[in-house]
Amino acid sequence: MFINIFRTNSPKNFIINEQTMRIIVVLCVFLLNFLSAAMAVQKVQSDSLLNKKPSEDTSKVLIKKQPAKLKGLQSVAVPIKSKFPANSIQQYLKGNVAGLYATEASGEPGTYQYMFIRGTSTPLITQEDVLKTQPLVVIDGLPVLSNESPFVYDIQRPDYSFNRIGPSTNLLAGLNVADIESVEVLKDLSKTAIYGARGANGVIYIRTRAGSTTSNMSFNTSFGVAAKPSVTTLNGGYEDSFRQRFYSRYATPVQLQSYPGFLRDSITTKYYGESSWADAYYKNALMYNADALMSGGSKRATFKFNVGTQKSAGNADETALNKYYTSIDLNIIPRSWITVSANIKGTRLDRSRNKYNRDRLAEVGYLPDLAEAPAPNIDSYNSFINEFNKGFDKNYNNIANGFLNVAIKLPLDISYNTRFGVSYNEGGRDLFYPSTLLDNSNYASNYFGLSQRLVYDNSLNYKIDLKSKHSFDFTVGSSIQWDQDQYSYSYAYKGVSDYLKVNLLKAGNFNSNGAFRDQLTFKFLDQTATNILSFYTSGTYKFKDFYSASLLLRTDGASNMQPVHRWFFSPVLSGAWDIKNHKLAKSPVISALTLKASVGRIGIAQLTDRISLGTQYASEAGWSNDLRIPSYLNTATLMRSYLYGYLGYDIPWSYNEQLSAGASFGFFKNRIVGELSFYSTTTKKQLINIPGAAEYGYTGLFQPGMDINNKGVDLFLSADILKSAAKKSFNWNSSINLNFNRNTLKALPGGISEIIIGDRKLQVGHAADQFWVLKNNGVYNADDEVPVNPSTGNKMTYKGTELKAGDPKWADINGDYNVDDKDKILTGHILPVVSGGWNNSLRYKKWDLQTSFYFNLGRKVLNQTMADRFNFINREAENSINSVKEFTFWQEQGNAALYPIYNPWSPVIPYRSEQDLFLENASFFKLRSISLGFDLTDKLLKSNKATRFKSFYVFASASNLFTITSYSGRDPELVNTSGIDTGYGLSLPMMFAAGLKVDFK
Amino acid sequence: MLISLLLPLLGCKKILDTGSTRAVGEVNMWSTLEDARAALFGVYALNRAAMSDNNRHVIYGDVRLADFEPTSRLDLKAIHNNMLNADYKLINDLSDWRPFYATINAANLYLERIHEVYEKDKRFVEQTYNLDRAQVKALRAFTYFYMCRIWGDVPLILSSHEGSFTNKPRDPQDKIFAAIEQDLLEAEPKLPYAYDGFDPEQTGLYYGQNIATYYGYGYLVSKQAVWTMLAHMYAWRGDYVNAAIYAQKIVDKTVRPSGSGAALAGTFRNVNDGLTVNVRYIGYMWGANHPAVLFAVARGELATSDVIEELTAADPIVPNRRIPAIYVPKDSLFSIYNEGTDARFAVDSVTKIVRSADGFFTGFDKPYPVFRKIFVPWFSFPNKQGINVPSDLGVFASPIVFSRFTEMGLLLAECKAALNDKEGAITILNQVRVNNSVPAYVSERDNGPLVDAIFKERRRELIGEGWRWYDYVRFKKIKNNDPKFNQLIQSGGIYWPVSRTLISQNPMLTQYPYWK
Repeated sequence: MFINIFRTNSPKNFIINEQTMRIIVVLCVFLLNFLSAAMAVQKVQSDSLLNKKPSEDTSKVLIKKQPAKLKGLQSVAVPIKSKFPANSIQQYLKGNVAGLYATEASGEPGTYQYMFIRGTSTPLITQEDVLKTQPLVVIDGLPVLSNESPFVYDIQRPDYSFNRIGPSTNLLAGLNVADIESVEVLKDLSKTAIYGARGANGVIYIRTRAGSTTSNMSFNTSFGVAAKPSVTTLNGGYEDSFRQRFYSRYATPVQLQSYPGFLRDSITTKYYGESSWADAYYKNALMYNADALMSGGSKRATFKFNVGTQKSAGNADETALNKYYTSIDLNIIPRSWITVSANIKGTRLDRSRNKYNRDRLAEVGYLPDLAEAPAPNIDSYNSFINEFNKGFDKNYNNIANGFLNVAIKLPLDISYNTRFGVSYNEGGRDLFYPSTLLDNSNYASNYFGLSQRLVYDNSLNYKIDLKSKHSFDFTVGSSIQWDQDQYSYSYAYKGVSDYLKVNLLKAGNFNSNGAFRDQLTFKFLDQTATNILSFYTSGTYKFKDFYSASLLLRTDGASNMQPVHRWFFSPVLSGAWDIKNHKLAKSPVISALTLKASVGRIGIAQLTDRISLGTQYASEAGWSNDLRIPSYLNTATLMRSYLYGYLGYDIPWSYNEQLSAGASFGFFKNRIVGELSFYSTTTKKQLINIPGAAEYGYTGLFQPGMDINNKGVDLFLSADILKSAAKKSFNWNSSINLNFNRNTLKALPGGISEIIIGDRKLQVGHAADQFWVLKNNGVYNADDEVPVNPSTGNKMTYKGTELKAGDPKWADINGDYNVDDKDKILTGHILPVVSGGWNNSLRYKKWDLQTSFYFNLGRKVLNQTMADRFNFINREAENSINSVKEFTFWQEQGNAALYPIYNPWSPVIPYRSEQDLFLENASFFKLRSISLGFDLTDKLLKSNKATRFKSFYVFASASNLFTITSYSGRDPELVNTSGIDTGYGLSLPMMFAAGLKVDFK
Repeated sequence: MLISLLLPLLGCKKILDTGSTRAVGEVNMWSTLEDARAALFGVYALNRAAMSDNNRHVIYGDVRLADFEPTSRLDLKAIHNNMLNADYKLINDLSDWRPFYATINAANLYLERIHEVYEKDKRFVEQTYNLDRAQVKALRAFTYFYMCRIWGDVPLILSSHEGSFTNKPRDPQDKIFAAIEQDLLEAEPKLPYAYDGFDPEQTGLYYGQNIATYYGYGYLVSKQAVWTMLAHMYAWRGDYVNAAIYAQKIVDKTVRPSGSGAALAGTFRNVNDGLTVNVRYIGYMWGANHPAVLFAVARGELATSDVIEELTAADPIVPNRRIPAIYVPKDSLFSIYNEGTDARFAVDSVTKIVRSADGFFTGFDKPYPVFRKIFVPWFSFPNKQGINVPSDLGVFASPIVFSRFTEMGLLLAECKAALNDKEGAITILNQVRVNNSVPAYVSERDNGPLVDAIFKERRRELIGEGWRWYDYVRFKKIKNNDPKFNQLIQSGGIYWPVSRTLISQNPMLTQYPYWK
């Protein structure tokens, strides 16, 4: 929980000025261009003088940057060819890896995108649940910070937590996508176990471009546009006729009287005039990237230097993400037995966020009178933007990842590796809303958060080769990881003037800052530390090239676990049998066949340090609508965390128990290659907050014992349908990757069979990602259509309220003539049952054409956007955060004709969203990207011998071209992790880009 | 090399014992004076949280079948019409008693553990130990009383049941009232009249702070606060003999036994007593005005929601709010304030101009009159003309006042009337009436039944203070002439249903027949 302070804490600031960063990057790009040109010329001269060949051996040694590979399944690195202008790892990987499901809930660049490898091990109810299931991202061997810590949610009202306080930027947008050499998604224990508790949800291993012993320069750039979408806008006339259907049929005279003010006057043009807001709201937006790389070296040393910038843009609300990055990679071999590698990557992210009223008011934590809607004309939108721009909303992140690795070769085939790594992220949000946006009161807030990870790994490896038949490989290692997160946050209302914009984290009290009164200034800070310590040993035995077996034993200690359960022991056994080499060496059809299997378990540490405390006290003096109050009568308070839930002791590690088996194969001289694997992962003894103990003041009790199983198949198949080495021939490769996953809740704590948490029900035997809804069978047109209970003579009720004409016919599943939660059914899945991609690559002469398709099957979406539109009576009356209207209110977002006309005033709330009326099949098939490229190298070389380009390639691409789906809303991807389409995700823009890639010799 | 490999082993324990800076573990609690103070104020804060949460105090008392009507919110309309089975989020939240039980659990835990601080920290002296325990007992009793008024029978839990939270059924109210009575009677002798150091029960500075820190005389539980709790508990049960004893103590006690310190009682016309104070706390018993306490705003404790003004304030007192969420219709106002030129509220029937010194209501020219009696904007700002006007920003700081001097006076009048001491009742009633420029009550022949007159006066005086529903129930019980209402009492319809969520979590809980 937070600690509230009344004095300012000025955090350490390493903020690099945005402008300076921009200049540096631009200068660097130019410098590199110049250098590369100059070097290309020089190269021509030097090469002609000395026809020197680089030593193959050294470069091989140098490129090996990661720890010793373990044999296992899914070792196929993914060379992603798509020219999709990705700005994050998630976008880059989406639809390219079997078993990795990447969400994209908004087209706003830089927003959170969650990834799930082989389903979810926990029901996704809170933000913390989602973060618990995220995979580990390892870049060149360094496990990097990939998510902002969830502890800030402690001071956020759950119903206002649309965004995490602060920049809430996707940290994985911090990696330079152009720098990615290859990605390996590790899913089986045989591969992930080496990362211990951190890698329990799977590991995404990214290799960036390495240095080389030859001098190399490359430059690539692209320009493009995120295209303005075509939307149907609405005005007051439409809304009026939409509502008249309900008013004419059901409204009482009193209800007619309270017809909303903004629709009452049909003569004025404010609401009934043209709906032109979209002309300013949606725009074609420029995107670009420029990336330059220089590498070179000698036998004993190589380096890589990379610098670049990328601007990604959404097509709505002027959202954008600006990225400036640089990286340096050094490998030195001072003596033949020692290799030193160092790598540092730095990124600056600046994000322009959406300007939704809801998000603004949720941040402000204050609701004005919300009866009016914004007017749908362009002047109204422009004047809003004009006012908005009198303040500011600056969001930035500075991300740095770096490591130093020393590998030492000792006699007797012993090698020693030590690595020290740092992953660092600082993020800030500086916000000022002028008084014209909210009840004559301006609002300022400042956030500064800092996360830091230090990693110190050591390993010792010993190899024995016995008569080349038997070979052994032993490794022992240890790893320490220190994670630290902290933030300071302050907000204030009603500043003296719109021109006095002080930074609340730096300014003192009212007497010194003169802008914001102390009584209306709120300050928070919090910090948390999480450490993990691991020891492991592994041994691999190989018999010729036929069999291999390895055993890994590890023990992990985590500071987030309670002292009696600090440590967890995990064994993993895996084996492989190369049938091709062993038995089918002469087979003409089968060119490769290896069977692999692994079994074992791995511990999963808790996410927050609160768990390690057990029963605890915190300053939680607030209540559900106001969590931020820490004191009473100016006096500090301490109480049990009643709103968080009761935490006892003896909380064990939860762990994954995994069994997987599969085969990788190749046919017809590897023209068809692929991999098929089956898996069954049970995540056991998970801690879950079970609602209960209300008579003891708690919202719930944390109890261990939830088991969830994910079972499924990953398939990767790639075929060279047309393949020829001839110059003028046609080459066609087609590949498909897909995952089928089945999720089952196996057990709940204490042997109970079901629990209800808010709008979700978890029932043993069912999937943990199901919707829980009422079954809708139409409408009661007259009171006498409502069934009567023959035994009591009472009419059917909804939770005790009698159903009447105009109410929905909800199925009374248990037949007690009362529709309630017992009649809700578990149905559909939030996460897709089948997901995958289909990629094609065609090549003819110097031309190449690539397409990539992405699909989800067996997935549903709760269309809350439409539920909200129909439930306008309740939403407008309650003047809550749900009553907020956006400009997008005036946009057609679904098909209103699909829904029956109920009485919207009915106390049974006919248009409640938790019914299957709003649950839709959201399977889809998308053309994610298509690109056409042309290799100009030969032409250029022919025309001018002096230009020594190694390659010169130009391309054009189009992305997000079409979606085939039965979903009636905008896009089945624009949903949150609860499977709900709130209508707030910005559309994924259609993008067109053209660019070039140049390599210099 | 081997050393570096094994190096982590040496620092093992240190690396993994990070120690939280965010929360206090059980082992570190209950050891110092500061822990004791934080735990005590924690109980107070939880009580505030329970009563503030979703504006419970206002909605339970003044919206359900009461004078305040919702303008457009359907959830509030359902509550106003006693349709408490309707499936609105607000109704589900308000039928959940968890926040009250959080106060009770914190109190139970406090009473079980506080001796540890007394044993460990010498600074925690016996006087404070006894005094604080008495406050916590009174808060526990108050919370149970509050719950019994809402839900009738509730599970009686008097220990923390640490770690073994077994489901409990409802206990009969008599058993709960016995426990409340015991707690309050035990607490009363150990409490001071005020926390200003003049009483033997509390000498010197309280936790090193003078009384201004605690915003004066209403916000920590005093002897008088316990008397009001006892008086109301007895009155709710119909034991007017005992209720009269404690109400009488309040009305009589104007001078403190110590002879020094501020006076304890005010006059019978003091509508603002306790309501102009700019803090957001629970006034357990508001005695007299004290100049030291006005207009102090606690930093970090102001909020933008869950104060009565969130529901009641609108244009003209909050210019940007078109209409309030709840209001008292004009017709009701005419019938409530129907005697003479009431100082609290009166309207010239011809000119429609509000003529009232205190102005409980304003905006009478608009469709929805605005309740102004409790209106504590956090701060005033100079407007363009340089005149201080309330801030446009709807941040309010009104406290929840449980009882005040006039309220107790009218309760005493009610007791006396119920006990057939008509003369005594009329004397007190007329003090209130005369002070508010309402003609004196003469006799039942001239002015109608005395009990009716007393309850009408309560309605006028206490509007918006969360009394209306409970007054209505007591009135009906005294009259005992409405079979329909008696049926409501019989079937548990005067209580709130227990949240369906709670019943699904604790199958031992049952619903009253009326709500089945």
